[in-house]
Amino acid sequence: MTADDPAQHRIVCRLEALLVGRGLTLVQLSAATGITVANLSVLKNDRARAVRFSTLTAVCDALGCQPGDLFTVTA
Amino acid sequence: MIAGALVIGGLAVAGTVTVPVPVVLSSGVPATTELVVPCIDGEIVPGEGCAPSAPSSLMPVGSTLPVHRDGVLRAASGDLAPGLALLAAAPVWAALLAAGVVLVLLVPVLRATATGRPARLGSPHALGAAAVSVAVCWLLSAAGPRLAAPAVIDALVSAPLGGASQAVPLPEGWLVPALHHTWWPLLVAALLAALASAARRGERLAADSAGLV
Repeated sequence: MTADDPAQHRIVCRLEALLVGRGLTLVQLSAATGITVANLSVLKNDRARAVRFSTLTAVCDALGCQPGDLFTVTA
Repeated sequence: MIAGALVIGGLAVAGTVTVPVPVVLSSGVPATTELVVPCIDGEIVPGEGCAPSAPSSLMPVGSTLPVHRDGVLRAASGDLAPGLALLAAAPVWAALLAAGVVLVLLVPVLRATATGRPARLGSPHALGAAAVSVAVCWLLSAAGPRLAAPAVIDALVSAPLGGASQAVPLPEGWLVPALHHTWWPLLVAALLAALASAARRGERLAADSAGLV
């Protein structure tokens, strides 16, 4: 299995929807969290294989959401 | 450097370049390699003479300097078969070949390390190949002259020594082949092999953390 193999997991990231809802861009979120735009893009486009708790905490604090708002498990 | 190795090898095969091979005097041979004899005015020496020379009042004829000669005794012959001539020249072309191959293989690895990607794909293979190249070339440079030495000695035995009036062959058995090598290239090969192992582990770590945000 490769990192991008969809059969490996069914986690979908809803970062784009959250950003649109709050009127934020990836660049603004990067400035607010200290996470690079590249890594946020990986997260937004469902190419991440693992997420650090520190990253999750920073994003949720910046967006005012819970981890369950950020990730869902597809059927 | 690789081109230099090919040139040296070609010149050796063509007989243009003659590289001496290590030999030793057999036990009991009435000859010595230890003496350093000064040149004295009026003293007749074989070959092309000896200059500058010192006056006999400064140094009596036949005296030797109080020094000790160290190093390898070497003998050469221009009458070797092409294959044997190539083996005799192995220390020269094998060293150039090893240096050239290592440069070709390691320049991309050094560039990747300089740009912050030391575990770039292919680095372990390049380092491993460099280690094998150094080890193989070391083996060739040590074994080649040893394999060619019997033919060199045979050629010298059949060639007359001395001046035209006293040409005599080199007595058989006076010179025997010697094995001469240095150990530091193996240290270089071991270091490259260790770096290859480290790079392989780094590659696995990089793969494991790929996509981690």
